[in-house]
Amino acid sequence: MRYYARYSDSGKLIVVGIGYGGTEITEAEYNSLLSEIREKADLVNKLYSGEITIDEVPAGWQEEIQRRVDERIAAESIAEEQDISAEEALNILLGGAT
Amino acid sequence: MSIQTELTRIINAKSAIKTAVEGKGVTVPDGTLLDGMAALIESIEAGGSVVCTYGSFTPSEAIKLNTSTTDPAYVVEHNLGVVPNLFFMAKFNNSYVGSLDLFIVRNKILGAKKNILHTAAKVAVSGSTSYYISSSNCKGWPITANAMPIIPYIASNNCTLSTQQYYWIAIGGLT
Repeated sequence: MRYYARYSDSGKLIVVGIGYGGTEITEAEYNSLLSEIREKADLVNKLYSGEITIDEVPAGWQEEIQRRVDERIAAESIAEEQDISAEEALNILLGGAT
Repeated sequence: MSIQTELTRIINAKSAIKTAVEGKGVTVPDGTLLDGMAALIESIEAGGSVVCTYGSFTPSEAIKLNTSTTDPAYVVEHNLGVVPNLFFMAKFNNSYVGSLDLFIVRNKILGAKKNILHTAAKVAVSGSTSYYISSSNCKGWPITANAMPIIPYIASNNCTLSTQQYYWIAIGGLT
């Protein structure tokens, strides 16, 4: 089993995974990074839903968690405004055949 | 290294090549010299075996897919060695059932141009977050023997890969 992490050009972690690609890491590193990813995702969900406040987020993560919540809110606002044409709807139904 | 050592190495390599070629169903006549091996290798029939690779990935944070830049937002490096016939990508969401997304890669011959365009359509469509693999609209991101770009259905859609674990299987050699 090959574990890997993929980073952006600026060194930011993009994904962790199993299989090909990225930079090979150990299973322990993979589990550690995966655990952190899931913990942060949980905090984002909780902050978004109002279950917690930003003060309850570990200090080192507050900026990131708040940014991700803000982005999520912004993205959902954009999604609500979107409309698709009949042609786009047909393209979806045909699986991109047109 | 001595000349004898080098000769032994070459003799052993030729023997290994002979074994490998015969393992692919091609008989190597006795007395075949090393420079005759290339022709025998070329006579090996291509395909005939199904190949498969699989893996998983979890984004550290949501990856927003887009069609406005030169490179796709995310590429799955499947390393199959051939363009896959089928590519399955599944996201398992513990909070509800039904987040399994299947993609079928198809080779679409484009009319008079006779170009092979590999596209993939997502079987399950889920509103504005629909995404799939490559597209006739995004010719800059082909499905290759080693990589599968993930892009959104429509450029204007706000499509993302969430922070859940995605599993994928690439299968090739079916045709």
